[in-house]
Amino acid sequence: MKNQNDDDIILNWQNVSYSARSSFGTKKIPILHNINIQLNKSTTLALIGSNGAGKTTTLLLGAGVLRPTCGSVFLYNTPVSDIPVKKRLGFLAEIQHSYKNLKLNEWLSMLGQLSGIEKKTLTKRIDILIDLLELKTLYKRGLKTFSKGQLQRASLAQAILHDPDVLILDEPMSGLDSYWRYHFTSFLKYFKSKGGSIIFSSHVLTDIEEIADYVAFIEKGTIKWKADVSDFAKFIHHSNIRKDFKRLESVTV
Amino acid sequence: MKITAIALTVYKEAIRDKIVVILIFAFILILAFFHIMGKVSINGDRLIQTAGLYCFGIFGILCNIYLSINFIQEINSKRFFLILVRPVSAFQFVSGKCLGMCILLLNIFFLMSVIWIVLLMSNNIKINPLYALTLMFIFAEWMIIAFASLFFSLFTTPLVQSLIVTAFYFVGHHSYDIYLYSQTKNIQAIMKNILTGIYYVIPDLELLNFRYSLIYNEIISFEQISHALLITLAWLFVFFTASYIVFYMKRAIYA
Repeated sequence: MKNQNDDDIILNWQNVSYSARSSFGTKKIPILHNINIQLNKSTTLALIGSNGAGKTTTLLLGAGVLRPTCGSVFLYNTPVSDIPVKKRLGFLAEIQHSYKNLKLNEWLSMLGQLSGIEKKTLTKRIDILIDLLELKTLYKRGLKTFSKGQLQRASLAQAILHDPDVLILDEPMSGLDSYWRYHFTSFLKYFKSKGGSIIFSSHVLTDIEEIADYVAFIEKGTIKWKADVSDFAKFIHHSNIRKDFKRLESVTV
Repeated sequence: MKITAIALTVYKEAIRDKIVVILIFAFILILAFFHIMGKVSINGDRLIQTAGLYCFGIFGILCNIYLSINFIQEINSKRFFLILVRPVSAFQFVSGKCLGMCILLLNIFFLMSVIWIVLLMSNNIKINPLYALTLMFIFAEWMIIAFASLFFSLFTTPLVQSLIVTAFYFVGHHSYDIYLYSQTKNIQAIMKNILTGIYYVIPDLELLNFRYSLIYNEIISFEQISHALLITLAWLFVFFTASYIVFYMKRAIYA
């Protein structure tokens, strides 16, 4: 992995650990342990790992939604939980739990206002985004009628509505058809070329190879390795998955 | 702007739900039932009056249970993560929620009041300013329960929340009785402390209850009104502050 300039670090997870209770009165279960990740200006970092490895929790900590049990997350050297710095962050969740009785325009308008955008600017930005993401026909429709892919597009709209510098995307391609996968990829590349930084999680290796500059592999709540995306291809090549599946062939049904 | 944005979301999200329509429809149905019962009873006018006044109490509980379950679901479904990642302070969030609930409850209450008043007028019952005063303090009761339920919904489940809101209403209307009982001689010291504690922790909703005065045409003194008003404002402030503190402390730990 290339040496990263400290001045360029935008989002920084410093010795972050996180644990949570599964229910009231139970013992805390460790979810993340001593995570150290730096996201630089104009770079894209992909988080990979198996289900339950801790990718979503890492992203939620980065977005300031969760508070680390140990360590800190900084955005522009300011704790990410600080209210003013949140203006510079865009977030797309893995599952879109939208307000079912709100219309798309109302939802975007509400989130835009909460981001502190002036009404005139907000209307213009919503119009452009609706056009770009081909949501014009859905503009005044209730969010509960949206398909998963449509919701994903609407969610990208809310994530970039306030013109953030950093995008935190939890499985951004989930539920998208190939047409929109291509457009999302193009947009993320454009966002990076304009100086934006992106951290995203994904299970789709082709997306990672196409979008990411660096890859961090999480397993059981710890970062096992971080590397350039070119090194990531070598890792895949040396994976034991084929051997593992050969074991399955030894027991026939 | 941020407070009104959150408030309007609460309002729109709830008002477009069929549950609100069902609640209003159920209110009309119950009033219609008592209207018919009133026709076949002696002193039927009083029956319509009394039933209407107590229906407001029950529907206040139901509306507040519905609203607080909505809020708990918003937390549980992580719907409000998109709000938390934005520059919104705990004060703005709690204020927005409270304002949204106020607007929604005011709308429902106004509609129910109009329906009830029309029914009373159709039964040739004279409407006097005492009705406005009684209704105003029933609404104050709704508001106290709403603010309290917002506070409880920050750390409970929908089922527990429903029980708390219901218990809150009934204990609230009997908290002075609980206090009087705690002062009797043949009661254990621990029990006495617990019961006295309940009296101070749960608002005495009877202080806002002018239903009897309305039914029996009693005069309500200025002291009673100002006392009720102060009690309302004080409890609203207490529950708002408590919700703000809990939300501020919990803000970044929803998992």
